[in-house]
Amino acid sequence: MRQYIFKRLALGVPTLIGVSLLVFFMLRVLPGDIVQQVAGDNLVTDEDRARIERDLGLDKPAYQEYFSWIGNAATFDFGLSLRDRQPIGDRLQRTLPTTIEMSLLALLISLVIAVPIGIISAVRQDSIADYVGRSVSIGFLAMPTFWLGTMIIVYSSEWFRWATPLPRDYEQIWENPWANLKFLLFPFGHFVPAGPSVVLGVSLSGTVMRLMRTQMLEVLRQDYVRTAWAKGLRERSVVVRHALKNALIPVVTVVGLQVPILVGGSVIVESIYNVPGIGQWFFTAIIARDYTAVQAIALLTALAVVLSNLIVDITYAYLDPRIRYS
Amino acid sequence: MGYTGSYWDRVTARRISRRRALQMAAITGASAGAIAIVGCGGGDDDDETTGGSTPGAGEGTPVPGGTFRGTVSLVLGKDPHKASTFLTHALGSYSYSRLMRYKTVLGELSQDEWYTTALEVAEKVENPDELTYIFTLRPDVRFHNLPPVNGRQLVAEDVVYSFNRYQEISPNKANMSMVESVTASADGTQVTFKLKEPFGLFLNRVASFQDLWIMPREFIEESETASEDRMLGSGPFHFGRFEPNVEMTWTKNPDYFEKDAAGNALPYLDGINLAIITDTNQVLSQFAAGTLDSISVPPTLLESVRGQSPDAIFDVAPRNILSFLYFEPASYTADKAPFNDERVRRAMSMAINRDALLNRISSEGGEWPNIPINAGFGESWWLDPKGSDIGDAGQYYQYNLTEAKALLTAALGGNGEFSTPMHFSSTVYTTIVPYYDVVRESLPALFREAGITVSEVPEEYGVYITKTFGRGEFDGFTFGLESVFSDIGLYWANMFYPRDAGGGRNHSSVGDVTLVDRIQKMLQLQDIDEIRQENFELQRYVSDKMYYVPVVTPVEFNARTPRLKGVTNITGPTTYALGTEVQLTNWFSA
Repeated sequence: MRQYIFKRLALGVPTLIGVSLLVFFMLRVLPGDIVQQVAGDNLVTDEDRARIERDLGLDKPAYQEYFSWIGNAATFDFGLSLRDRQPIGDRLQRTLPTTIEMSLLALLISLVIAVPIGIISAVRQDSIADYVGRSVSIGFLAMPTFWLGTMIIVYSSEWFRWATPLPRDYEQIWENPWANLKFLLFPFGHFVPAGPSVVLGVSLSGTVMRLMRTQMLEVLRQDYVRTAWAKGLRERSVVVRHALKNALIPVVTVVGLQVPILVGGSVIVESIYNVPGIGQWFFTAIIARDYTAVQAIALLTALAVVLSNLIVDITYAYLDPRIRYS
Repeated sequence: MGYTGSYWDRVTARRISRRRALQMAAITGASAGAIAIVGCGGGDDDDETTGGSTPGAGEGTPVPGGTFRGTVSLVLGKDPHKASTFLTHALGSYSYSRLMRYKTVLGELSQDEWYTTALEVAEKVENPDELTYIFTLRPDVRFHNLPPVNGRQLVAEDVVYSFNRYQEISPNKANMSMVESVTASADGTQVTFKLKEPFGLFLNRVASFQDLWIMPREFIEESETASEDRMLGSGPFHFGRFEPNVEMTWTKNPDYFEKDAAGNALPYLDGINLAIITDTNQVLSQFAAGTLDSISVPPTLLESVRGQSPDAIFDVAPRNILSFLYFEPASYTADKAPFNDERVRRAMSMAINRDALLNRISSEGGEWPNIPINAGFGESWWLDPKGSDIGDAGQYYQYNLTEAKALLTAALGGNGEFSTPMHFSSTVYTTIVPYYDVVRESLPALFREAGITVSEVPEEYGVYITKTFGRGEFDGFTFGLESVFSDIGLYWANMFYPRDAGGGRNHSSVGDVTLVDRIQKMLQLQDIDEIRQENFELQRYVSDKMYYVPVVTPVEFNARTPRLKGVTNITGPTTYALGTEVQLTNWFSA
């Protein structure tokens, strides 16, 4: 297994290099450069352009810039933001844990919602519970995060004069766990679960719920499950101990694939909820053509996707003993 | 609606009291984002400038203390010399000072004083000849009592250093291109500006919030990124902290040099705390919940905010964005049809139903300010497009489909119909300028009525601002916005001079030699009344030529808690310096 993990990690390196090349050069060929944005409404003369590029360290050939950047990035030194000249590493230290935590909580919430409902829906197929479960999953699938988040903010304010905490109120989980969880789960207080992680989690849960139901239905029709029933095992034992584990394998794959979706969702949800995470930064950095910031975030996102896929594969081995990595 | 009085009379006659409307609020949202600050004061008869003013009548005695809680959507740097955006300059004014500022008062300021300069770090200005300006500095101005300047006195050499640095690195440096030299007197008390040529509005240019901020050399040279890490000057507030996407804070400068009329230290506030919030719904909900003291209210949501915050005071102000159509540069540089023909441009203007657009934007409606220059300069400088003073050109601002079609037929032959692309920014503007999308969506239908078929060309903001807005590389026409012009001369020069000779915002490369000559001559005049009259003539002239077609800019609404007092009478594009012109006299009642 260890050999397999190392092999997968090694295979991730070309992926990351590919992503870094793509992001680096696509940003530079994108119409609309940072020089004009720094100059604002003013006409950029050749002299101005040369000076601004020199100030920003953009006056070298692109390939030289790339090698310099990727070399430093390998040691997690991402340089300075082109926009505010602050170290990107410092900001990553503050924002990355926030987004990771928000996303993990969202994943957890999606599983907590989706797995039980998916199971009940399958076990009680065509019952009222099934119809309700399916309706809920379709409802969750149909609600985009930006809509759901906005509705929550608008109507909480309109009806109850509630507002989420301001960004300055955010504390990391190791600083103040309760305040942190309140920000991400119950931002209005009153134990109303309407925070950014909840919104993201609810949106993800629709897909997982439907897949869980389908897989359970398929597994419940397998011979070994029929045998379990024939042995007179209790329903709970049949479903949880015999069927669930096998039904979860494709679900784990889908959950692993949710990571990029979570990154995309965090961009919107963080803006709506004032979460000082990496998503909001990514969005403003792209608009401002803050090349170094975008490159760093994109590279880390790619790394997260590579790692999440690895975790998914390792989880397979746990769930299905027939799978052996060597 | 016929013309019955001044612009502000008409705006306020309908739904907002004139008194409130004229007690102007500061501006929160402008072209690049929403800096949310303050509304109007309650005083009526105070006519002192900010520094020496007394509290507004009926507000009581100012109580020192309290932290103002506002919001800003975007922070693009902290160095006002390096920045081109008004956002940086506006925020820099908490920590930096300049030689002069624009006049603000507690309470009402008559419109003929809206574009009037006032002294700040300078205590006297002499103008011995038309090319020389001598500024005598106040002896009591000190930089913040923080390393590396440690509260030392601000001297003439600091002004010279700041000017040279500005000339070296500022994207706005062309604004001061009329300056030949700047020298400090040996005793450090006077700064002399020598001009290359006469420039009658020179003091207004010096007072602009976008240019001559005084920054100490030791601070700048402390490290390569010192001026981007923090702010350190002689302004009313010490820089506190900045965390991207979180907040920006300042604390009171206890040694600030200005006092109120009673001799009390300014500022009254202990601090400023601006939360960085990008989402409009968040801003509104935070205000409703009482966590923000003042916000900008999108006109489309005015009624909703009023319902949510019934105790809030709502102030109206001229919005300082120019919203306009600009044409493919080849129309002027290569005589390319159809926009080379002024009849076509006039027809496009007449096809725009500005009243209908404003009514779509807000139930409060609005008027047509900022045509062609900012209404915020006041009626002493701005011609009301509905008024009689605009002359014959006023007809081109009136919605008149029949005449528009007739003009198109005369210009193009046949039935006068044609097709053209319309470029616009599909991001950023759409979120930070609350009416942009409403107008943009309406324009194709309005033009279709006149026989102009528009194909929409959405452009991501970065592409738009660089290629279309910045370099003028587009076909057809573009619906765009123009950010604040802090002085009349900047408007005329930027919009109509050749692009490589000061016309940085001449997006269509308008090449009217006669117009350029008239602008140059106007700027060299010394008599303010003569400048004023020629400025009116130029507005009539460009309204006739319709080089750019102004669209609409609704008035701006700000909401504030009734506890916020001592709010100055802000007059639009000239007074964006939040620290020194807007919030210096703010205080909170119990």
